[in-house]
Amino acid sequence: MMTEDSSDPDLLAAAKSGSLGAYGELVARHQDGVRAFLAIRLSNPHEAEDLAQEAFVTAFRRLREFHDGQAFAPWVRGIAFNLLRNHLRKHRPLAAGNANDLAALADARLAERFTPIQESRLLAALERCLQKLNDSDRTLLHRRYHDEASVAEIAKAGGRGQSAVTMQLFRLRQALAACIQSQMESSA
Amino acid sequence: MTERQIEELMARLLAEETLTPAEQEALQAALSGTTTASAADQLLLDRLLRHHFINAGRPAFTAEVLARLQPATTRETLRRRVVRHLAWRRWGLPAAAAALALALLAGQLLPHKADATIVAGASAEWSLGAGRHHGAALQRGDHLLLKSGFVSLRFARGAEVVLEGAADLEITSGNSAVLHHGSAVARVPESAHGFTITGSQGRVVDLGTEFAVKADAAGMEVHVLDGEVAAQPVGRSMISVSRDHALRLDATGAASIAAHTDQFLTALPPDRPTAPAFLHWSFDEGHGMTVSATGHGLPLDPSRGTLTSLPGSGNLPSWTAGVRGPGIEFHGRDDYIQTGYPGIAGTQARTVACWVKVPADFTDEGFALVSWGAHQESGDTWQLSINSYPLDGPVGRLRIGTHRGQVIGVRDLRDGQWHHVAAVLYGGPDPDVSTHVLLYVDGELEPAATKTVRRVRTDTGSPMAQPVAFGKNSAVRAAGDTIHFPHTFRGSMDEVTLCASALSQADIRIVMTRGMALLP
Repeated sequence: MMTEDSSDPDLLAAAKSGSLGAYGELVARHQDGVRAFLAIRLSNPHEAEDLAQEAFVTAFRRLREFHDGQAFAPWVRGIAFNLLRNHLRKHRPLAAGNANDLAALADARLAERFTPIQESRLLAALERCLQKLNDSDRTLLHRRYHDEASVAEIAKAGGRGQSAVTMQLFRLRQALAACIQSQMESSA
Repeated sequence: MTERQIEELMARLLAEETLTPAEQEALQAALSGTTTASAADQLLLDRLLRHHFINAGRPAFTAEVLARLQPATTRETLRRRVVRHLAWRRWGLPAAAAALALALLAGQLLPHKADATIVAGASAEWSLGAGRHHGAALQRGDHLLLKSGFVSLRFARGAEVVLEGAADLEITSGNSAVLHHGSAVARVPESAHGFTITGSQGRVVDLGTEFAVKADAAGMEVHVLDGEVAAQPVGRSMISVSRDHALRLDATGAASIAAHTDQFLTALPPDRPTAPAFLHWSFDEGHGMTVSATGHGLPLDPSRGTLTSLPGSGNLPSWTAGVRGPGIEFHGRDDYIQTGYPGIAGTQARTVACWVKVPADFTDEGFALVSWGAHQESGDTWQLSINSYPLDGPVGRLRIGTHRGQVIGVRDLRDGQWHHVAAVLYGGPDPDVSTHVLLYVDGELEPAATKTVRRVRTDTGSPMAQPVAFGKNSAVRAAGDTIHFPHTFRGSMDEVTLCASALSQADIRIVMTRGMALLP
């Protein structure tokens, strides 16, 4: 039986012969990189997660094209990259003007922000950093990102100005970015 | 523009404010430069947080990938993706605003849907202060703290779970839950493949199936009733488990155990109609050779019963003091009561209840309290009795038998005292004596000592079908029968109720204390 101790090449060999159990272990090992890669490049988290799954589904179906001795992580990331490119080609809004350039620029900055290995640690790093927040900060993030409440709604419910909420969210993201950065450095 | 100002512009953009052309230009210039990593970080964190909060509660990523690789799930995957795409459309910004491509972030609130809903309960007793009612909407993070009894939940993605107390189940999304302790049965339709139950020492992921999970602090058991699941001990690989197999997950990993697929209730009775059809024999005649029924919705005329004996014997039951007015005493000497009512047929829901007094020296004699059916084929009979076969289970306990299938309770009723007993079958397309029957003694849910799987198909129409009788074993047709079965019951009975619906525990308590006619 394949276990968590098996090496990637062993798991790949078993997966090539049809073992979903072995492939499941590979997915478990490499999902963080692919999910983070897509999460930071797509504004819709549902689409990011769907494409990440699609990348692993496609990879499984193309395992025959995978050469022994190749590394799995960059290969499946390459598949994710192609899926992302096709997706953006189909779905990128046709808006003209500065805002569109702005988006492309911001995305370009994101793309060079972390190495693939650092990206694969982003999700776990975020989780650790979220745990360091106090309850009220966590509640605010939950309202904004889980409940998908608008800043205006949050401000109204809390009897605060919109710009105060905007700035609190801004500072929280800043603190989390710094925390993630230090996690990256300490684990580098 | 300072870096701080650039970051603030980005924050306002992420708060869905509209920037002036000048502000947009300034932001663009800043992003083209080389020094403003932190403005991009705002966007990065915005996306990461959105991803974290939206996807954290979803079932395991790996399980969803594996489910998508199952050939049978292809259609479902497509459907789910379409649904998600529509959801995205709904909260995406309208085309005019798409110019702010960066702000393609949630503009409108998604309706706040429940992750799970309570759809039924049976004898549910909640921990202090944790009571919940039918229809209660549950969100991720909610705990169901059940002291005893059963509740049935429907998750947003379609999985149906029957939770058996004592239990603590935490909802984690519309397709997943944590079972801290207790036992649960999940029936998972195509729309919910990937449904996950996590315990302290691992998790179970549905791959299209029905499965039962028992969990405590030391570990969890999974019993697969149908289809296949993937089980994963903490920190180890997934193992697939198929129908009629079981696995225990604990700190040492996973081990195969015997499957007990008949030990779990897989569905709870639906709400009964108002004023359900019923017949009630009070035995208040107190003398004479016949007993009549009252009630409504079922034929009263054939329900009249005659005090009689098996062909070849001359003994008769006698009148005695009952619980409410007179009752009937059977002597276990081929004496019984025969009615002309055929009984409730096929797979229909039903409740049979009565008061019974079992002598302390009851052994292998009297058997049936209320019975009907043909007793020819497996599952064709419906017989409430006191068990007297040690091979089937403990003697002196309440028993429901269907001919080669039975459920036997745990309370010894051989104490010469009156007890109220009831058996409920909730119908459905394919009811099963092990999974669709609840027993009650003195108004309390009676745990089952043993169960045997058997489909219920009560035969009331064939030439061999016998109408409802009190005190006679359905296997016996004449006093001279040489079969080894005990023939007739020894003990007393009163207030027999036969209802064509599955009654709840609250209903049964009313039947017990005040009578069926007073059901609200």
